[in-house]
Amino acid sequence: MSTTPRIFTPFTLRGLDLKNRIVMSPMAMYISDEGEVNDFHRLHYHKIAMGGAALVMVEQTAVHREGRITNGCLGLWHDGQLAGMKTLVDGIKQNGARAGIQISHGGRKSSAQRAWQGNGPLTEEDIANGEELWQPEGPSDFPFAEGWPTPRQMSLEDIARLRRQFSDTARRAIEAGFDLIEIHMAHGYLLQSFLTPLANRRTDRYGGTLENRMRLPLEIAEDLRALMPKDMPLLARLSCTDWIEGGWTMEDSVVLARELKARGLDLVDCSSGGNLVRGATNSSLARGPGYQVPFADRIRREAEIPTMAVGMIHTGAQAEAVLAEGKADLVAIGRRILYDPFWTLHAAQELGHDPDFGHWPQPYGWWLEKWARSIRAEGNTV
Amino acid sequence: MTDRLFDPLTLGALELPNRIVVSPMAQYSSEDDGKATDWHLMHYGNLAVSGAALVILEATAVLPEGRVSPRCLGIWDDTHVEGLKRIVDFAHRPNGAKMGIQLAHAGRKASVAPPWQGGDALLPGGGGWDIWGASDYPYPGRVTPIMPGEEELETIAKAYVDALRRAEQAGFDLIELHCAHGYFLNSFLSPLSNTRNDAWGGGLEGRMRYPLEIFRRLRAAWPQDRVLGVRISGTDWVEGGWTVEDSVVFARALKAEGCDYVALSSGGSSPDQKISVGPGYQVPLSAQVRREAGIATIAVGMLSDPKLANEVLVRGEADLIAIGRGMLFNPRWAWHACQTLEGTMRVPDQYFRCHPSMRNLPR
Repeated sequence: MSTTPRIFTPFTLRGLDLKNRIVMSPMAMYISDEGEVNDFHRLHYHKIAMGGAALVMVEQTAVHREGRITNGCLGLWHDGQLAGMKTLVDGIKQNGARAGIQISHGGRKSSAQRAWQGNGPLTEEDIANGEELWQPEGPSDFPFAEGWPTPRQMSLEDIARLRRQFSDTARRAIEAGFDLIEIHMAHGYLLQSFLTPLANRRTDRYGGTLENRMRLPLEIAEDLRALMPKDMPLLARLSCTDWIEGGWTMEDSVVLARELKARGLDLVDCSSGGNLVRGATNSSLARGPGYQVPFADRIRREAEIPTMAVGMIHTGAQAEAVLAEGKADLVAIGRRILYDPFWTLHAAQELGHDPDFGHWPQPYGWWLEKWARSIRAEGNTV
Repeated sequence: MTDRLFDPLTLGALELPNRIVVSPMAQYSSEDDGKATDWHLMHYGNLAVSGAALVILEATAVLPEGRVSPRCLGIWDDTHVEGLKRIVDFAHRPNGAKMGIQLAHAGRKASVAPPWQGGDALLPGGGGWDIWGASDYPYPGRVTPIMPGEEELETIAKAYVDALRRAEQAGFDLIELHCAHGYFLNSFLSPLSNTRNDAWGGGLEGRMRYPLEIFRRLRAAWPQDRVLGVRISGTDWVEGGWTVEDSVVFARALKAEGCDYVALSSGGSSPDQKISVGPGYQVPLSAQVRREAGIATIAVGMLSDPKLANEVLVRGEADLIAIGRGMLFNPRWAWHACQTLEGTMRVPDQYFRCHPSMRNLPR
């Protein structure tokens, strides 16, 4: 008799039970209008929920209209966006997954092109085609790169307003029924741009030393923990390193993770990069399978907090190895789950965990069980 | 090997960017009113952005008594249009699929529980209803169907045409008439189920007469350049039953009436069928009908190995490949086949970055 693969063992985070260790990584679809959920989002997320992941993370969702990374980003910056978001949450849950949301402000990378437009600053052509350009805000009036808009440096009033916006958005997320909230502190967006000395040149209490640069992200974590139900997990996604000399480092991330833990944060989602010019994250890097796993491993050991590994984890066997080697508690699957929304169900098949299609939704499982039997009777594999 | 799976095909006015079809497969996911639910929107909507050129909706009943189970999809009432239209509208987006619907009547195999509730016959008063067949001759183990007289045959024919008009309102690009798997129209064709001794039974010509009559009326009601096809059981797999030779005769008659394609499935008329199931096991039926009747065909049945699917096209055994369970197992079958065969296809913007093999595809 075989033992249950680690992927398919349950995990409890604060008061939330997850049926297995697979998470759909938050990935922007850039298909919203004014931040609203539409049929594309419902079909997309509900199908992936059906595909067996324990937790489906809804893409970065703006806390402020001007905090959208693109014109197509989702938002929860006003109550009118709640009804649509509820339909998204309901369907994720009905299809057997837990629903999480990543709340975000794009900072100096806001008002940019959608991925398929190039991930760069909006061009004249984009604007002529109807995209709206606005001046983003950031820790300093220092643009992301040449050709990008110069952000407006946030005043202390702006910072206080931003904290309220994160809190208000979190309240709406709770009302919409989400099971957990992740604060986006990665990829060069607003909170990460406070953290990294590459973007933060402030001389007040929000800039300068590591302690000062961490202040706003920590305040927001504290604000959210105070308003969230006691049993609801709070996560943060970090860029564990900028991959740039003089930028944010892995050592800084360990310090930040400890401070976040002290403020009641439950898990660190370990990504990296975002301050290089090309790509939304760090797609100009030479990357290999599991290249960010060492970050999850180190933060888990040194900050003694649960972690999620993410980044080029392609196969069930790779995910299984990450868990078996104790390098992370959860594994997030990103682009591969777009390529194969049934990634988790397929991993179960590969690992021999669900030969009778019992994990599958009924309208599929009964067709497939008979089908698999006849294929196997011919000596072939499904 | 020449790649055919990702070659375009024009069928009537329908331009298909590749040869991949999602085969109609019952979802048993309506409530008991035949209306499309969120399940159908999600199921078909996802398949419509998966790279398949054509998605054909499951057997959809033209009359309530023509449902296989109480939870089957229906198109017997105007109130069914809205839910179906929502699915079609979603699919008709940039790089989305063309949408077809299979018009069906389950005949003497109607009124059973959904398969995962056992699939047992449901009787009137016990959640079921009176069933209809070509003759008052039951499918072994089931209740005896009612044999329709002239007036009732006329009523049923009108229901097919009304269903077609609703499908047109919903915006479907294609209609497939279900004449397979032992259901109502198949029960006229097969000598195993048609024991009538009037004009609608007897020899092959008599047994084909009612299905052809339905087809003729649909063709007259459907725009001439819009695709109308038929799914048949190419053989009953029973000694003394319907044969592939009969299928060739039927396909020729359909072609003469303006049929655009025949989809070649098999079986369903008798529990005595002897089928040797394996990869591509129904392809010979498609090959013979295509060759001898000179009509476009869809091959279906255990074709989920993309290389095999491609070979079927290369060998000229079919014009289109329908993937059924393979699509349930892997709703992105077409993308993955494209990667395996190094083909080219269009991908919705939201998904172009999800695999290295898709980055450089045209959008």
